[in-house]
Amino acid sequence: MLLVYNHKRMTFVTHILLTNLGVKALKLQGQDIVLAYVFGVLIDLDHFIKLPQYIKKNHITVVKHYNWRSSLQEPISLLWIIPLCFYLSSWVPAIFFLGHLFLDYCLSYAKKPFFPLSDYTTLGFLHRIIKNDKVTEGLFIIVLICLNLILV
Amino acid sequence: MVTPNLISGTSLVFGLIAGPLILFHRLGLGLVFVSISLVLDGLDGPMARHFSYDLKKGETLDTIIDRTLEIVTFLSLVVGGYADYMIVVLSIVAILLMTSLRKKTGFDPGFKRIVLFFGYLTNFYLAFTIIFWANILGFIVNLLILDIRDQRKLDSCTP
Repeated sequence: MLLVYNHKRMTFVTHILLTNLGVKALKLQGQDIVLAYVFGVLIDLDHFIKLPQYIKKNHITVVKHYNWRSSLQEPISLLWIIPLCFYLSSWVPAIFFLGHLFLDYCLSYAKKPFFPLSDYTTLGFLHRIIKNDKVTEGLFIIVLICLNLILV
Repeated sequence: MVTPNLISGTSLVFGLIAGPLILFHRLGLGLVFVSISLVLDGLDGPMARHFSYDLKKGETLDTIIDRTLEIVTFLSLVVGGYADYMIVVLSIVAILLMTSLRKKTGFDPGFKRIVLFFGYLTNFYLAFTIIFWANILGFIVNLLILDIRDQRKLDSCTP
């Protein structure tokens, strides 16, 4: 399957809105709030792992839609997140990681959910229903803002 | 004639003897057998390389023996009342995850049976916490190594 990388990524804003909603809805406190933001938002910092690779190929040129994604943002990471949940005696990491995954898999760029165990590639849930990722993200932002306001 | 497989087998025997010793509260003696097993475990690889034995088969056998001895030793510590079952089970899971990718990357952080000596001097909960974190992080590092290799392949194909 040809890997398509010229589609939009889910932005930080959407991830922050969903995480904030989850924190309020679940009435999290203390360490759980930190875990929620780490696994719901900051997991996107895995992009920096490929920075040396990007600079080697593209130098300091800005190239849109480079494949910054790593296995830390894929379902395969549940293999280490679930044991971590047992260690921490909290399901917050898994719940908010799944929330992050859900948003990413609503967009239509190529993802390898089970790499390195499998090279299976998918374009996510909605690519046959909504062709434009900007529309998808726009809808999510509106819904999440409304839900966040309701829960204030 | 002494072969690498014979050394591995002997390491397995000493490691398996350690299990019941720990179970029956002879912890110190059990750890002596663990240390002999570890020393022998460290000799088979260099011997195989020196005498040009089949390294691939030897590595697989070595991995199976190591994982078996870790599970036996760790569970003996649980049943013997020295360690909490949850942290031990999590440590075993972390080691198995790390092992699943080790062959593809060659990266192994260690921190398995050797940490038990630290546990003997301090406490086993701390030792198993170290084993858990070292091997979970080892699994994550292995994932990232493979991601970077995959990205290199992709970069070489795209303009």
